Amino acid sequence: MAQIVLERLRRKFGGAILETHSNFGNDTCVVQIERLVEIAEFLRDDRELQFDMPIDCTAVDFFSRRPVRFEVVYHFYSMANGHRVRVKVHVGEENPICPSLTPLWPGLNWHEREVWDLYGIRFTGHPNLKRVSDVRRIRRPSPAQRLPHGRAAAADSHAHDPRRPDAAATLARNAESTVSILDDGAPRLGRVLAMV
Amino acid sequence: MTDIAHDLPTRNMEVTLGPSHPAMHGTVRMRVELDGETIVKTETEVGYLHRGFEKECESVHWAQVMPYTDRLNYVSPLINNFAYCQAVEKLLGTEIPERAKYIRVIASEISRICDHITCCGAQAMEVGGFTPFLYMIEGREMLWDMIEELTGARVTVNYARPGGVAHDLPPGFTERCLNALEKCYKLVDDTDKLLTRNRIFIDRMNGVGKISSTEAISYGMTGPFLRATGVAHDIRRAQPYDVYDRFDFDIPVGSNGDCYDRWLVRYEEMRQSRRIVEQALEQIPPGPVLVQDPRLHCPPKTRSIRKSKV
Repeated sequence: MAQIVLERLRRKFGGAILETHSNFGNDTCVVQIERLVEIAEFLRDDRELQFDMPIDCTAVDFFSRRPVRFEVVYHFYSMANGHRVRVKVHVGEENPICPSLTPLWPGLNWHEREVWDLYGIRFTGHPNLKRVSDVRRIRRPSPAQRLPHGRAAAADSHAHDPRRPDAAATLARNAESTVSILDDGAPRLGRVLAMV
Repeated sequence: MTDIAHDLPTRNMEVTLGPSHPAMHGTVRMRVELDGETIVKTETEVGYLHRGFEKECESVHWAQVMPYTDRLNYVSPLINNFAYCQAVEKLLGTEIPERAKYIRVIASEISRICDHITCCGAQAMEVGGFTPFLYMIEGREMLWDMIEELTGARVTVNYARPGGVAHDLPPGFTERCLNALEKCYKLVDDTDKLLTRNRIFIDRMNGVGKISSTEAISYGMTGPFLRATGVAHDIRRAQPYDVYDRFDFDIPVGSNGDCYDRWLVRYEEMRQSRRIVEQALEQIPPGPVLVQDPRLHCPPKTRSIRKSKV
């Protein structure tokens, strides 16, 4: 339905729209981070589009992808047209900065704070960029470490459990395949996925 | 004001409310700046409720997420169950059986009534009316009995499955459900008589916590909050899912966007939800409640046993 939205964005901003798709009926566009605010303002204020309601802001950590490790994802809804659109921007690992859209939609305030808290992406222009939770948990090793059969690897005691002679080896293997990603940044995604 | 009072130096007082406070439903902390009894400024800290739900889901199989969704809202866990299932079904391109859709609607609407009952009851309690709260909780218990009969648990239901629901309605559910609604609404109506036109209650509610419709939209508010500001937007009508397009129900709308309007909107929604449940119980077709898809479930035991050559 809302191919109209993507079409309108492409016509207006051309090269600033890096990529569009409508998988599963979700209209999505990846835009240049430098022009995010401009595009968002257009989405909100354009007579035809009127994306007046912010639905969500979150981020995705593609933890083996370099240099563009993060993707910040915004969802908007248009009360007048019933359209939904998803706007994504790529954020690099070195200097994770994204312009804040809270001045445009105040409802994004806590969402952006949460992204800052969990991913360490700094939102420039945010009125109150404080952590949401008191626990410091920026960028945990992702995905969470699991043993193949689905139990948490944190249960180290199993490593010395005589009833489970394979536990130590599994744990070691698991630790190697997940933690090392964070050490040297070498992409070993395939192995990790095999464990999960 | 006497001269002495006028000369007294005063300054605003900062009070920390929560994170664990008897008047708080859930864990949230507010730093409130007071000028006498008037709140000048508040700062809300929501992080105490942050459970890292998505992170939790990362470490389990997609079918194991269901119990987590129960814990997102303890009054209406079924709605969260179904919302997650709808996302999975959308990704898989699965169409669920008709009967399952009806069961989802019935369960969702009963949950919605429970939610609104709890909210209205607590709202009354907050301004000092403890009796209505007890009435409402008694009414909720009647509906939770129905939920228990349907799912096997009052709160941690774990009832939905991608591709339908875990099991069919129990025999005789329709009569008992209508009966429970009847009894529950007697209490709801009693509370209505006690409070809705009560002068003290109106004085405490009217004009409090006013939100304009533009503000509500720009803050991404939905549900009774949004409708109380005068926006007639209900996702069940605007983008109907399951079988919501087949029922006759009205969307109540407020005008001021204050606490009293929200009370009225919730009250009317409870009545509309009852209408939906009654219509759904009447229209519900027979048939399977779970789609037969090997990607989602094991085939029924009888069939697999028959086919296996042991």
